[in-house]
Amino acid sequence: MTPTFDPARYVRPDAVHSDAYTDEEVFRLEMGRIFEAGWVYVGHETEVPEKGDYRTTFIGRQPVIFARGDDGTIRLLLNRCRHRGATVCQDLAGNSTFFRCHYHGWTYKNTGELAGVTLPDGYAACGFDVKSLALRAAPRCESYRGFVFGSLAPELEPLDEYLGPAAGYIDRFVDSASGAGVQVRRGVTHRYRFRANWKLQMENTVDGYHPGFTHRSFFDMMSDQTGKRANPYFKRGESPIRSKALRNGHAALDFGAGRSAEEFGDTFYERVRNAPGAEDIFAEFRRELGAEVAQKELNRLIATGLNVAIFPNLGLIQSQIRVIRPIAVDETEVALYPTEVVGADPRMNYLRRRAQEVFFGPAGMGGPDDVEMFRRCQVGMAAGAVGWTVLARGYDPSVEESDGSEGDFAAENAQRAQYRQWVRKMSADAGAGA
Amino acid sequence: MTPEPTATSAEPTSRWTGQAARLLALEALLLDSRRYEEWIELFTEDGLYWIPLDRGAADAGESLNIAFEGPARMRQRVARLRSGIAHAQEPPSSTVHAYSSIIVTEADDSSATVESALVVVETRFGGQTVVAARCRHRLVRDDAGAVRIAQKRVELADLEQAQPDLSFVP
Repeated sequence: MTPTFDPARYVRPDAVHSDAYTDEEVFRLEMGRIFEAGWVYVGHETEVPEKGDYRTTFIGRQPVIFARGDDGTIRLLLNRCRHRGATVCQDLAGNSTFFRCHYHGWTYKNTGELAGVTLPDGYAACGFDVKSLALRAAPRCESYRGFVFGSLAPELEPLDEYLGPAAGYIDRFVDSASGAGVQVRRGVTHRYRFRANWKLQMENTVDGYHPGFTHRSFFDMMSDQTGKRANPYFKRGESPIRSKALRNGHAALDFGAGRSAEEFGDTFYERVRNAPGAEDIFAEFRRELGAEVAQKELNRLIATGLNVAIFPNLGLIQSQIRVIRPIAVDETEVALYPTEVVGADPRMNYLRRRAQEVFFGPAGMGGPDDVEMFRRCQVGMAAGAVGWTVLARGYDPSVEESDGSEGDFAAENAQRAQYRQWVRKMSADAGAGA
Repeated sequence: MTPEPTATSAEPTSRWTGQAARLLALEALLLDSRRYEEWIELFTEDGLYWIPLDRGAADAGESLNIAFEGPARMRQRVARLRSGIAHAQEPPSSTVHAYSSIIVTEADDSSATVESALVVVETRFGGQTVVAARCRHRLVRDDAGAVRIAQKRVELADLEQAQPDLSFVP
């Protein structure tokens, strides 16, 4: 590795070199320059609704407490005692007035302020103010429509500016099911890990090319159940989906605003009907609303008609929030949070959870097949002699592709936009990285 | 949560103990042999196969689960595994299911609750995954005297952590 890192060695307009997925030095720089020096998604405000609520997480490699203090403010506190470095919070989530380091007994308020040290007289002569040693907070913490992002680097554009046109897709995600928005229930989360590079999951979130192949067994299953073709929305000539590149590496598969799920053969209604209790709920809704309205309502609830990827680690997939956590160059953890519709009939949220279970999670009937493809990519890319992968679908070399490009359902313009942003972030010569 | 067998239930408990151990051993054999269709037949038609994500969850529907399904969905799961294009299981995992510490905690003449420790060793491409769990089976005896599974609840030891692929049937 040369002292100056050249991202162009890894990315062409229509291709990515496999070293970007396999080289540990690239991974180290990604953590420094992308995850620990730029906006990353941390959590949803509704996970910490009350004062004292917290959930532990990571920004890049760094352990963080996503906490609402007694002053009502959400902070991202680095989970490290200022004394000798031990974590001050051990739980995944909870509610606490204090975070205490049990090594030497230093205690912090849930706002991060140092509440007290043990045996304080011993510091009288050392010449520094112990009280100034609050838990360090991420210098930037901003939210959009309940989605909380943080940055460990202070010098950064405002979150709204970073999101740009992607904010409109967050709006659609939040507003699609009802006017009252969505919420996440703390602890209601699928988590899985796999031995492959994090970018494979990032690309996959807005990859309309793969479902017809990777997930064919799921669509076949739905076809057998319904007697109808299940996946015309991933078929050439029939798909309504547009693949949209947005600024700053964000991208979306847009099924079309306001399109109803009935246009697609694989409906929410059909996906959940074999779940325990679902048929009873359907029967109740049909009685209350009439058959036709009931089915429309049920389908509308899941089909936001969107897959969105906010660079680098957030995905919005229909009604689900997906968060990527890189661990090592060949190891990744992913958390999937089913959103609930605020104020909705509890039976509707019951069915939304069932819709996630059937496809996603460690034993779902769709997600594990994606993970298997990531595993195969990581193994295959050890064939470094081959060098470049191909991201050329829908690429026209005679036109300089810009952020804002559109393609068909299976275009790889979304991934090309992700890698343009990757190059921008990895090129940053700001010392924050590395 | 795991009540001691009471004096009044001692007699049915002892009658269930051998049957429960045999049923769990059969279940392990069918899963390790990938005889999934026969495995599903062990369940009652309104039976439930449940892998919760909430430790101690009493109501599967109120939270999110790794698996929460009855025979209809289980049959679809198995048909998919048989399809040849369920990629996460192509090639399929090899598994060894080991039930131990089997104890009947509640019993009457027609039903019983059985607690056990489950260790599954799963291997694929040379990597080995150990899945450790506490299991609770609700067993029922039908009119013909056959014992069936009304509910199988698998509480993973590390359910708070990110899980490896579990698309083989743990």
